[in-house]
Amino acid sequence: MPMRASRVSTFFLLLPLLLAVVACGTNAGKNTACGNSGEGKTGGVNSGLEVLYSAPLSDLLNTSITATIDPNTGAFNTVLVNTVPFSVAAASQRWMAGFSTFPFRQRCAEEAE
Amino acid sequence: MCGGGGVIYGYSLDPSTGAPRLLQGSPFSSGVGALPEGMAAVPNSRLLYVADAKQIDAFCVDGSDGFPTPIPGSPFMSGSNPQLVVDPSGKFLYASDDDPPGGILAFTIGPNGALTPVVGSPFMIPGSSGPNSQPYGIVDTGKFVYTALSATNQIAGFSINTETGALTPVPESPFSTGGTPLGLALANNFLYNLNWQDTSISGYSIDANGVLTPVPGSPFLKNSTTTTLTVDPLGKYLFIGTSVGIGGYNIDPSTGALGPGLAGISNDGALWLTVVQLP
Repeated sequence: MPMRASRVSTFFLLLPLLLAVVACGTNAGKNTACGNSGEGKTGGVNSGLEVLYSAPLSDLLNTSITATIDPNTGAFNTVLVNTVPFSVAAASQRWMAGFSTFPFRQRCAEEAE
Repeated sequence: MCGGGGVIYGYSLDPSTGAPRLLQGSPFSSGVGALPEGMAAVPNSRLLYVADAKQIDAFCVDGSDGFPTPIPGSPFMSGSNPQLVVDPSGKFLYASDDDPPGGILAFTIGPNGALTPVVGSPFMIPGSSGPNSQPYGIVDTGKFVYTALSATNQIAGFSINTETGALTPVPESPFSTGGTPLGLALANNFLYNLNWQDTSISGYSIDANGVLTPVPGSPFLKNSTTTTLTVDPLGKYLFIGTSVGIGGYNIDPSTGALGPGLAGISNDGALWLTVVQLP
């Protein structure tokens, strides 16, 4: 699997412009039981790495940005350029076909932890 | 979409760099005829919800390989919901409802993730003009829900009944904003929205009753080619995407005003941005 690390793993599921993050453990084997304790966000402020993700505005380069953020200054510490795994052109066509009112879609993110 | 209808891409994130890597089996199907759009996850769980055509798809994300499996009962019938948000309590899910005249769909989230409509849902927006206010972006502070009314240039605010999830309009709602508001972002007690037509950003403080008041200097970045915005999880920085790259701004913690710009990244533009904090 792409991620069998010994550390806490995180999965996120991505639509063209939308992203949600689900924090997962690293238990061996399938872990398919899901429940909602209703406890919501608990504990103090998470001190984990802050990362910014972007998708390109055009398909000229078809690349996305992953940048870590310095929590003290807001500066971008490291910047990675990735090839986006989907066709932005196809996404745009779908946008125009299904949601012609707006020229783009805004991201929606929820962090699980 | 994404090369052929109703798929969701899944990635693992490198815990040290944040770099995404496509999961095995991705993209995942979200069903025949699906038109997935907004997504939201429940805090401290592996439940994932996806706004779809007239329904909400609910998945349990496998803890070992990230595979999303529909939960029993999914999909759950809803309305034309472009965007979703889960209440920080994990008890409620709200969706902007694009069905005329526009409103907010509210659901309780059961112990197994099943969605049940809140009595009174969808909640209408009093005072909005036009046949459909076309709510789009939606955020939840834990006390209040706000949605951007893209067709009427307003932001609607509701207070949350924390026992039932029912919504009640806050005083003075809806609030005027710039042209064609779409995206919303929360930074502690401040709310920011992107006005697509004006390519500006409006900033508001949120008082104890949920009333919005423009922060000093708002609107910001007028005529800036801004295409998207997001706020870091600590609410310290606001990041924008433009036609030429990505930029950031300090948020004044006392007033909500945007400070001088931070060093940015030049590229061929950003369609969306999001900032996450890894565990």
